[in-house]
Amino acid sequence: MELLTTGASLFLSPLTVFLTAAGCFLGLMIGVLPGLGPLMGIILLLPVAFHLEPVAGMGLLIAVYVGGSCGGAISAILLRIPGTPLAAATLLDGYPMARNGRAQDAIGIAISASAIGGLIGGAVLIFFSPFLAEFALSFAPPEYFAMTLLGLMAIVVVARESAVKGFITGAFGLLLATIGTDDFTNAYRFTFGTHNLYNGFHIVAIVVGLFGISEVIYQIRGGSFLTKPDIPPVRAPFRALGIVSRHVPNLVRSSLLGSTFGALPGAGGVISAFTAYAIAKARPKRGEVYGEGAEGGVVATESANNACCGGALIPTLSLGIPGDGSTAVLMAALFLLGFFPGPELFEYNADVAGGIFLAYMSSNLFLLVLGVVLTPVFVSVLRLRKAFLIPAVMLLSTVGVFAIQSAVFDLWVMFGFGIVGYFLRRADYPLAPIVMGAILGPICEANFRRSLLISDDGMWIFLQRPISATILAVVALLAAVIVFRAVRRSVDPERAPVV
Amino acid sequence: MSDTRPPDWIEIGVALALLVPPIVVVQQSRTSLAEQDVASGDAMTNAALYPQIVAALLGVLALWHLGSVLLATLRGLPAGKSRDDAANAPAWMPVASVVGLAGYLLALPVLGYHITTPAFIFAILMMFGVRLVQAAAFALALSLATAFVFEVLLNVVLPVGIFGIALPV
Amino acid sequence: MRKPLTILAAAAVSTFAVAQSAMAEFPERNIEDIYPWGPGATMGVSQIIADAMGDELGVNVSVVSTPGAAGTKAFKTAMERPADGYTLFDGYVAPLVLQPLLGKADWTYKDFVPLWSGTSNAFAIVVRADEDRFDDFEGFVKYAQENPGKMRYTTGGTGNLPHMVLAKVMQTSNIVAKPVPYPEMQDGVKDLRGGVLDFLTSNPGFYKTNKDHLKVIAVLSELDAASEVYDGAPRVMDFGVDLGMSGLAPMGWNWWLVKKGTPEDVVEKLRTAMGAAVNDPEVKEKILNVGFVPLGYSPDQYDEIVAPVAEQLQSGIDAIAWEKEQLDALK
Repeated sequence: MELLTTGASLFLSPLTVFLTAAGCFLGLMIGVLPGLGPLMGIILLLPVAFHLEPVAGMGLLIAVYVGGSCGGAISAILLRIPGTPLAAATLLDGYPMARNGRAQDAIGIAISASAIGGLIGGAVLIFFSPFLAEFALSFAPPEYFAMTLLGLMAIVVVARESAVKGFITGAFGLLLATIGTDDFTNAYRFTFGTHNLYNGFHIVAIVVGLFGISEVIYQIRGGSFLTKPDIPPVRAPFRALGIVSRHVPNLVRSSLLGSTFGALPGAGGVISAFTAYAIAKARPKRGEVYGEGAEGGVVATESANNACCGGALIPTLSLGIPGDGSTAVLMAALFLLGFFPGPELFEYNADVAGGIFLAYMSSNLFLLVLGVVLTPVFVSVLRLRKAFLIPAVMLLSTVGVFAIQSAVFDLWVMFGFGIVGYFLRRADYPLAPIVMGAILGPICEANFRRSLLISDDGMWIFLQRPISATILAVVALLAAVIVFRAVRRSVDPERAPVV
Repeated sequence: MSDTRPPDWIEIGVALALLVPPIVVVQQSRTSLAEQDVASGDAMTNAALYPQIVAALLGVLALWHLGSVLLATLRGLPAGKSRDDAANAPAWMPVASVVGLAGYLLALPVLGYHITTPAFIFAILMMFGVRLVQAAAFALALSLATAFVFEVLLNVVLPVGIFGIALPV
Repeated sequence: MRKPLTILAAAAVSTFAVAQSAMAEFPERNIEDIYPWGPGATMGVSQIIADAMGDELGVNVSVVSTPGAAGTKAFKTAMERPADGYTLFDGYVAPLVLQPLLGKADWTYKDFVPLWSGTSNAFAIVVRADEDRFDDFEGFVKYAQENPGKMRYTTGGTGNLPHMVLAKVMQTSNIVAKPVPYPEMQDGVKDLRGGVLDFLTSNPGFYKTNKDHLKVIAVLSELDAASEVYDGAPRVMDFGVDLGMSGLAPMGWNWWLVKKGTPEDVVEKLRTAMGAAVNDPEVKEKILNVGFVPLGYSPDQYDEIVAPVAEQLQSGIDAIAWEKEQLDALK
């Protein structure tokens, strides 16, 4: 608490508060653009932050981080293009909601749930940081490996499509992640002699292709380019908060999950969003069908997603170990502003630490306000006739993907995955497991091999350690349930004729 | 509905196509990775082990799925749930758009963003039946607005092409 | 409807105007610095230089992260661009000198036109702060000799620069330990603190953020400045171990470059701007704060500085081969 009072003196300057609000707005906008997410937002604004006072600069960047993490959901809901890979989970129910004419509610829920999740994540950050940091340190390679398997299981469980197809696309995603330079041997793996593949396919190019470009093709097939879209009237702005208030247990559970997983450097984001979704799906409210526009689905994924931001700041600030790319750059920014994250920051620069924390909390508040005010603007995108919307989406996807590393090759990756995604959708394969596999793949492989390197008994290491053995037991249990269901279906084809 | 149904070619084609990645992984492990001497040994030196495990998993699942689809087709079981593939546009349109996008990506590095983009957007709009003047205006406006956001506000260098065209900074 | 059309027309005209002035004075658009690693503190350092240089030139210099294949992807990407000065190589030692030595790249450092040197960062062997099996370099060597192949360490990737330097030190001291790759170095730091690893080669950034939890055993450089970054920790030579590498050779460093064939006047402009940037006291101070050391070598010193590095690194490559033999023998 003392932290907060000392921090307040630094944070409560008009400039800092303004920059935090502005950062939140910019982050939201950058997150909405397909391809650009919180990481790109932070990188793009880094030069600006250098010229500011530490807390003002960090406030700006953290607000971009918070806004960007939520902005991705908006394009996922409206256009079926996850602005960030993490929003692939929000799409599962958010897009069907928009198709049912509830775009405004879906966005409202996404933003409110994000903001509240973020605030809960912040509370966890301030009260449990040391505890969670110790917990994170007890996660060694075998535990990380087990976690990635759990994450992949979670996504197969949530898929509306068949489990076999979920496993297939998940494995496909894992394989995609093996392309590039192998970090252990420095060998070129599946690169076919082109340097463009030295670092594999860029995840954002894969995601925008799979979801965005395939959706464009679907939309073009659908025709009726010039008809005026039928848009439901704009509703009272704070309605979404009311809807979210009906999902309090889900909201709290997902936020806690998000901040706990977020505290584990590296694997947090996707796993928490999909796990929160899986749990929410297992306990639906009456009348809710997950995958067809359930409010609970959006609440779960978005609150977990943004609570995870607070979670990811835990190892960054308390251990000096960034949780993901975005926090790595945030940490670099702190460096460049002359402060070093880690326990020392809390001890010697409590005012800065407190200021950063306040900036994080207020970013989430600004997010709520801005989101509510801007939702009608976002929804108005749907007023555009398809003839204009489709080329705009194509262009923004292209330029957004190009902007990541100025590479035309990434555009071809996006193009290729657009076609792959189109046919996979036509054949009813879930696409989200590919994203999950591609993100978790490197973590899965590196920790699998690392575990074997540090093990004295080969594969037994995974079962000798209590945490990893427990997680693997859960994975095995889930797998058994899935197999049992699949077998029952194939025995009794009337239930679901096609496997 | 329940007596016969035509083979689901997309379903079968996709299942067959999914067998390609495992085959590539095995083939590459035997050739490229073996030549680099990273296809054997322990976890440190064997870069082929993990991809082959995943590839085996993918291969088995894809084969199993392919088998069940073929079996269902032979037995003439009814198709699963209907898909949301309402196709009201002429069949050539999606194909033309994909080809057009490929053409745009090919021309982009050569001619630069500011020449290819308005042309591409304009072509798409005309295909959708937008009136000429409206299409031209929208194509130019969209192209410039996007360039303004990315080039000027976000400092991204969009392809300049052989003529070196960019918005003034 | 009239206003948007006017704006449109004006914009169209201005685009055309730019096309007309394509031959005008350099630089007339933003410049990109192709940076070979993922985002993080080191990228921030390049960003500081890029910003200062951009201020001199009056355009934006953006740092584009293009990781892959120990930095060679970035080099190949930049090489595909025209030699017009709008693409800079962030010439880190790995893709510039090391990868060609390893036969993984078909260029040498002589194939580029140098601007100014950037920064250097020295590596240090660090252990947990509460390590009780040994408390200095000598104890560390003794313990490692008694337990050959038992201790686990990471230098980030395998066969990278810190791995070479460390392997060289271990070869000289006749110790063998097991390398475990951590391409994301922060995971390695986490696992060192979590007890999975016994030691690692840290860079100044990781040291500064984890100061309270790490202990420096020895700094892998003979320079006093390097020791200062690690709060005056002893260097390996202070324990009588000859590193066999001097100057920049055992350190990470970068030298900004452009492609051969870039017009003279463009190179001159870039050199002037970068010279002003890296010699600006404010820029220097910012870089020092992060634990990196500004180098300040001018373009003329390129050959003189880089040539010996290339020669000396060969001994590090041999040391890794030696380590592999020893590890195989222990199996």
